[in-house]
Amino acid sequence: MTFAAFAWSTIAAIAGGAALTVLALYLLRRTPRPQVVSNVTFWMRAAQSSRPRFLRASKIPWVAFLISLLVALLFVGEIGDPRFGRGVRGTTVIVLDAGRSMGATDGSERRVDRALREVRRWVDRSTAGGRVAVVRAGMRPETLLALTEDPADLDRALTGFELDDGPADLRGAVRLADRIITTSGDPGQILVVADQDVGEGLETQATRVLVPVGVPADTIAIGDFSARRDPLAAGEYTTQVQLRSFSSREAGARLQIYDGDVPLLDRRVTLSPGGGVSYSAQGFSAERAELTARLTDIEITGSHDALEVDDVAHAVVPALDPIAVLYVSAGNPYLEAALAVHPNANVETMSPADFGGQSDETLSGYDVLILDRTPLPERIAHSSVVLFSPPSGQLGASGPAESPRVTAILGSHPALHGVRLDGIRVGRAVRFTTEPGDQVLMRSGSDALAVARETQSRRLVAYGLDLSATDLVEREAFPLMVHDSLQWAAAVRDDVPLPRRLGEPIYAADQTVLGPDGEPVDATVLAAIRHQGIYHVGERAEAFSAAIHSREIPSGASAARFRTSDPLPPLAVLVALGLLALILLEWTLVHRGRLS
Amino acid sequence: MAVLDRAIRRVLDRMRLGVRPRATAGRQGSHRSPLKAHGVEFAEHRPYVPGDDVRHIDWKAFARHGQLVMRNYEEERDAFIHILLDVTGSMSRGAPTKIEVAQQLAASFAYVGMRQFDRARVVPFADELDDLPLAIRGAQDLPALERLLAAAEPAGPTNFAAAVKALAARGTPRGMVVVITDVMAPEGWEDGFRHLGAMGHEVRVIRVGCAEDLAPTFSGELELHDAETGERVRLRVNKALLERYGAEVKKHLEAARESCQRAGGRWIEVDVEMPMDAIVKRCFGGPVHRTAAGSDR
Repeated sequence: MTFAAFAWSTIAAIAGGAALTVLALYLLRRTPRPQVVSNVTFWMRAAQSSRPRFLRASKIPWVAFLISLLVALLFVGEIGDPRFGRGVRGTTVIVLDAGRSMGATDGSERRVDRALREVRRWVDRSTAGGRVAVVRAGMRPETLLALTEDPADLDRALTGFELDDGPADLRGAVRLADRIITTSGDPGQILVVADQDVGEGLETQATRVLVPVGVPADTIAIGDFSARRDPLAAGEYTTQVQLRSFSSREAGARLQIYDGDVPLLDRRVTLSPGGGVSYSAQGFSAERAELTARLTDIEITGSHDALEVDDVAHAVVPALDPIAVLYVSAGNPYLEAALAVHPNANVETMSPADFGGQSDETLSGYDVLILDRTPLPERIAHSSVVLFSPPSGQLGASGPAESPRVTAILGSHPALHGVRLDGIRVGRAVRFTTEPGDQVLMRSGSDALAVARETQSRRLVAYGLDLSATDLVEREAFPLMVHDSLQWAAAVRDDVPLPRRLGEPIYAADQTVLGPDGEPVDATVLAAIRHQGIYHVGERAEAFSAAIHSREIPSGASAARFRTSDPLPPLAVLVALGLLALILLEWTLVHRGRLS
Repeated sequence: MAVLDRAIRRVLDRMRLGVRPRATAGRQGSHRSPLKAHGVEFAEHRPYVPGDDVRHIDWKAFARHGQLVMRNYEEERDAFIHILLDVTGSMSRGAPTKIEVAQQLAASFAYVGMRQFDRARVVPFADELDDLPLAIRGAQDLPALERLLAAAEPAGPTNFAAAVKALAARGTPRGMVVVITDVMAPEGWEDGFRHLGAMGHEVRVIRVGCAEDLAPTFSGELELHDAETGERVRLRVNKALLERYGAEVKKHLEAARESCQRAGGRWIEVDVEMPMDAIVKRCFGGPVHRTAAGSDR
């Protein structure tokens, strides 16, 4: 039985008050109505003859009184919310789970609502005999309410209480609570109001009591949602969504993917018990995209989807950075066509004759130089150069090779990412003499037909193929090869970043930050993002998704353990049953007329 | 007469109060007596003995039989009617109260006795006996009777045996004793009735009862106040106790009735809720005693 919220003096005062009340009521009830009779002797004789034998009538009032007293004391005990286990008086620090799973709906009530009720109830009682503090166990534990004796403080602190979209750091919150108790100097207890246990191996100086909330529940979740640029289709992106069922029943839902308000995908999906399924959609062309995947109309056989926060996920496809390209060529339609499909390349064409008079300063305005059959002067030290069919002497070009057969390519190099050159025919090419550190991108036997060179100040790619004597230019791989080489040489990455994890910060600097709801966030640094969605930092969009945290709703492992560890019904129920039995006994004694 | 209204008096005018011969008094009256004297009612013949009053020799019998025989007559005497009126506290119960009914009954007995030239005397009693008032012989005594009854306030405990002893100690002549009471005292009745019988009185007990005596309707946690002694007792009254109480009272009344009958008395029960004429008829009814005047009553 726990009376942690009350000091002994308080308990004694309450019990004494209850006893006095019972005594007063008892005396009032025992105050008889006057009634004049002809002769009381006959009444006395009747009473004498009707006296019970097993219990003297004169004792029954005292028995009834003692029963009433016991009833009053049990009432006091019931008010104290008796529970099995140990209790500690003094400071109580309540760790309130603010993780995403607390948003689950058990029946008609969210877990967090029940948890808040429990917190208020405990605080109302705890502050009668000690101080109380509340630690919010979100993704980052924080003190929601410092030690106080005023229950009104809690109301203010819990007003507008919100859950995080990510998991709760219960262990960190418990450690924080333990520190609060330790520094307060008073004995105390940690009351964990959560839908999961803090796990094993966490030692605290203060006693821990778990008040579990939640029951086993089903949910269908988006386990992963991402988008990426299509390496085989410059300028397009692909989305992929993974759904998971955390239920032992058949489930179905409507999956929708939107780019802003534009629907990209809308289909009905089914999930087997405990299974998962992935869907991808591709071919979407846009400079940039802000994607939202959403599960609606979820149906679980014989159950319901308990958690909503895992039915939404977000991703962004950022715009490509523009690349300024100087294309130096006497004319090459294949190469020009390949550059034209590059979505972010601003190509400026120059003749080889004009290029010879350019200085480093004038060329510094370009991100990449593409030289087609044009020599690269030694004086030009541009950092990004792509050479096609360089004249002899460039990069150790040792001379032409007739009809070389491409025997190997370095597909792992970013300049050839996704490029397949199987079976191409090459009529003529220049062989390169490699230097230490060079990577041979294309090889014909021992001859290097394409080389990538990276130094501290330059990235250079050289293709020895004569573009006028190969069928490569007619293949789909050619523009991709040009694109990849251009990206690598310019040190530009166009891969789409994964959605960021909740709990990570946003550095706004001087830029305006807009939250998922479009409202500006009044902060330059957001230390930890708690809610998923797409945030806009200046012109940049960043997606924070909780899909990575999707997992089975904790229910109840802790709650179940509490139930199994208590073979008896809750103590409060036992006390209530005892009260009822005593009241019936007292009523029976009184109303059977055995009082005299 | 304020106690008895005209309707009751008309009923009483048709009533007679028969007294057994042995309970008659010494004056000439209307009741048969066991004495053979100078009455008008022939009783028997007896042989003449010297010294007899020759005026009572039956000369016609001497002419027929040649023997001197004397004519004896029954002497008709009056009777003392002692009306013992219970004025204890318990007589204040009932609606109307038992004392109101008892006062009317006492007045009725006195009225009937007066009409048949008996000497009626209303004697209030509680735990002792007051001074005996003068007997009522005529209408001129009725105002005194009314004053006596009006002054009879119910109070105090009952001690019937002591009252009877006091009555005997004052040399009360033999007669009829009408005891008007509720018999709601646990003791003293057997001794009182036996004493009255031993004194040669004809005893007639009128038990005036009310519903509360036998079957009260109150219940709950009560403090019972004794109407006679003022004693207070706390009781939780319920159905079982009420039943037990009713049985106790019935047992007590039965014992008192048997005591009365053993003393040769009559036991008459009336209820306060009965009409007064019905009460009167019940009280003046009963076994027929032939009167000296030849009446059936």
